[in-house]
Amino acid sequence: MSLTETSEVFVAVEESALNDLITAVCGTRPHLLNYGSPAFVPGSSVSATQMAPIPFPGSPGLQWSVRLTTPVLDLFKQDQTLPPELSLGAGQFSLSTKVRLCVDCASRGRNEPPGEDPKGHDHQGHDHQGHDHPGEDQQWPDDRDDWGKARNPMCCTLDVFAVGHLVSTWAGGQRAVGFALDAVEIVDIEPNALESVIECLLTMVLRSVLATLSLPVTALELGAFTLTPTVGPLIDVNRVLARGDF
Amino acid sequence: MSEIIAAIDEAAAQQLFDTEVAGLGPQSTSGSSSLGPFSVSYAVSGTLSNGTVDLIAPATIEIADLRLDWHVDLTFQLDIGDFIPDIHIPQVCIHIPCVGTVCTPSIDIVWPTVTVPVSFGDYLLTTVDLGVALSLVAGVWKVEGIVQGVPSLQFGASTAALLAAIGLAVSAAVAWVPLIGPFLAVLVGAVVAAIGVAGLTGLLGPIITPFVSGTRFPITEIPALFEVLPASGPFDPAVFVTVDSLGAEVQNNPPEDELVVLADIHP
Amino acid sequence: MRSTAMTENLDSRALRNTDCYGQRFMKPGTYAYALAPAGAAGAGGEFPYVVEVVERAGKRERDMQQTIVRVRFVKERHGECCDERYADPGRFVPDQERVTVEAGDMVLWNSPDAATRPFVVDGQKEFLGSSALTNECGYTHVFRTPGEHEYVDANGSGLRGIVRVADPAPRNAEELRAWQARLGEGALVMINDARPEPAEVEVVLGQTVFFAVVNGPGVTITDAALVAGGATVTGAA
Repeated sequence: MSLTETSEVFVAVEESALNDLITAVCGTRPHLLNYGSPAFVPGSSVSATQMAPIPFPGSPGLQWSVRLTTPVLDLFKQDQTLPPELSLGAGQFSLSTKVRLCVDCASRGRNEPPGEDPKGHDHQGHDHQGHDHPGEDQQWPDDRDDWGKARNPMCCTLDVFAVGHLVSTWAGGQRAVGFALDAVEIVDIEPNALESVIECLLTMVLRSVLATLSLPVTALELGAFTLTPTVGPLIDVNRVLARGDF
Repeated sequence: MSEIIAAIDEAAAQQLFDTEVAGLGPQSTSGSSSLGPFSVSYAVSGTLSNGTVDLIAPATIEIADLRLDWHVDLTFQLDIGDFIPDIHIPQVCIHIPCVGTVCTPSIDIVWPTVTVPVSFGDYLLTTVDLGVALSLVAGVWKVEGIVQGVPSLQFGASTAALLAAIGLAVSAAVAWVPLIGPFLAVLVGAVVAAIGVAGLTGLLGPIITPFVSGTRFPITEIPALFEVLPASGPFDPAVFVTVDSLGAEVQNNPPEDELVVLADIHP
Repeated sequence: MRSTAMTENLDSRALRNTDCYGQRFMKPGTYAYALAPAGAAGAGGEFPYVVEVVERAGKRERDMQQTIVRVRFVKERHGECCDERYADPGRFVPDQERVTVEAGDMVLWNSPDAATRPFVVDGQKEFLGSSALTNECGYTHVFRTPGEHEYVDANGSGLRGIVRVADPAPRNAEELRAWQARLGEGALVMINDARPEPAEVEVVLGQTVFFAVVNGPGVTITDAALVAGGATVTGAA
C-alpha cells in the first residue's frame, strides 16, 4: 500500500514527535501553561500570563493562579492508562497533565500553617482538595502594592486526564493542526458534585489553553515537502498523518 | 522507526524536479582543449530542462530524456600552410617596346595563420540516474539527487552541423587572405576532415559532460534547528526543535514508487 | 568573392613582396637613394645607398640589362634611437648598398619577404622614386584578389585605369594546375603623360601587371579606394 495513496504528498508524525513538538512549544513559551492574577504573576512575560483577579464585592479581587505541566498526548491506540470514565476512541488523543490551582488566602493569620507552596513544593498536611476556612469575615486588605507577593498562597495539584480530537486551524497564516477537548476527568475528588465543578472549571481552562496550542502543518513534515492537505491531519494509529497535493 | 515520515509520489517528484531543474539556470565554463589537430580556446554554456522522473527503489531517481541545451564559442588558430602548399609565382617577363624585356623575381606567397571563431549551439537528450545523497552542512540537512557516473552524451547530428559551421567559419576567417580563392574549397575540406567527428566528440564530450555529470538536484533542505513557530511577540519567541537524524530513500510501496524523507527530532 | 583595397594593397607608394619598382638609368652618374617606410618619402633624410651608372662599354648595341636589388627590413636596437612603444626599431637595407650598371640598364627593387613592412624607394634626384613615377620606370603588382580594381594617381595627375581580375575557381586538380601555369604570364600597361594604354586590362588571379611609365609628371599607381575621392572597388567573379 502506498503512503501517498491517491494524493501526491504524505506526512506522518509519530506520537513521540508530536509530544516533542508540544514540549518544544510549551518549553519555549511557558506562559501558555501558566496563568495568574497579580499576586501570583506580577506581569506577563514569557514565563507566565497575568490575568485579572476574580472580582468579588468587598474585596480587591480574589488572587489566583493556574499552572499546568506540559501535556502528554497519547494517540489512538491507547498506550497510557486512563481513568475508567474515559475511553480513547479511533481518531482521538488522550491528554494527561497536572494542574496546580492556587488562591491567596488573604484572611489567614501569619501563625497558621502555610498552604502548598505556589512554586510547587508540597507542604505536609495539605491535600489536593485545598483548604476551607469558614467564619473568616475580616475585611480583605487592598494588596495591589504587593503584586507578586501572595501572602498566604494555598495550592493544590490535580491529575487531569482528557480526551480530544484534532481540528484543522490556522496559525500565523499557515495551515495548522489544533486540539479540541471532548471530555475531562479528575481523579479522586469527592463529593462528586465538587468533582463535577472542578472538572467543568478545568475543562474550560484546558480548552482555553489548547486553543493557544497549534502546530503548523509545515512543522509536522519539517518543511521537507510543500503539503496542501486534502486528507487530515488526522489521527491514525499512534501517529498523525496528512495527505494532500504538492 | 522514524518519528516523522514525509513522502511524495512520482507525480510530485516530477513537479519537484521540474522546479529544481529550472532553478539550476545556465551553467558556463571556459578553457582550452584540442579540436582534432588544433588547440582551441572555448567558452561553453549549458542549460538543463525537461526530463521524466522515474523513482526506483531503494535509492535511484532516473531522469529520462533530460534535455541539455548547449552553446559553445570556439576559437582556434589555423595555419593555412599546414593544409595547402604555399604558392610560388614564377618569374614573369614581359617585353616593353623600345625598352626591352623586364622580369620580376619569382615570389613565394606564404600563407598566414588566421584566427577562426566558431559559434554553435544545439541540444541533446540523455538519461541519468540520480543517487539520493544526504549531508549535514553548516547546520542544514540537505537531501540531493546526484547524477551517478559519467553519462555518455550522444551528440548525433550536432557533430555534422558543427562541422558544417566550422567549415563556414573557416571560409569566413580566410576570406581576406590574398589568393586564397582557388584553394578555399580544398582548405575547408582539409580542415573539416582533419577535425572529423572524432575530433568534435573528443572536444565536446569532456567540456559538455560536466554540465550533466555530478550535477546536484536539490530535493529538500531542513535546518538542523528547525523553526516550528516563528517569533510572534515579546512573550512568544520562536520555537525550535532539533532534527537529530534525517534519511532519504526511494520506497516501492505498490502501486507507487515514492520518495521518502525520514526524520527524528527532539525538543 | 568581394575584393577590398585593404587586401589587394595596390599602391606604388607602399612596396610589398608582391610588388617591384624598376627604374631605367639613361645617363652615367651617381644616384643616391634611401629605402624608407611607406609614407616617409621626401622626409629629407640621408640617402645612404647608391646606384652607380657608368658609360656603356663599347658602342655596340646590346639588350637592356636588369639588376635586382633585394630589400629587407632589419630590426635594430642601438642607443636611444627609438622608443619601441611607438616605433619599430629597424631599417630597410638592400642586399647591395651600391650597385653599378651601365647607362640604359634597369635596376629593380623588390622585397622577397612577405613580413617586410611596406616601403618606398626615395631617390635624391626627383626622377628616382616609387612615390612619383616619372620616366623610364615601372611598377609591377601581383593581383591577389578577384574583382575590378580601379587605380588612380594619388598625386593628382588624373591617371585612371582598371584592372579586372578573374577568379579561376578551379574545380579540380587539373584546372588548378592550369591556373598555376598561367601565373608566369603578365600584362603590360604603358603610361604616357598619365594616360594608361590600355586603360582597362584583364588578368586572372595571381597574375602580374606591369605598369610601365614612359614619361609623366610623377605619378603613382594607387588603388582608387586608398585615395580620397577615389572610386570604390567592386567585386566580380
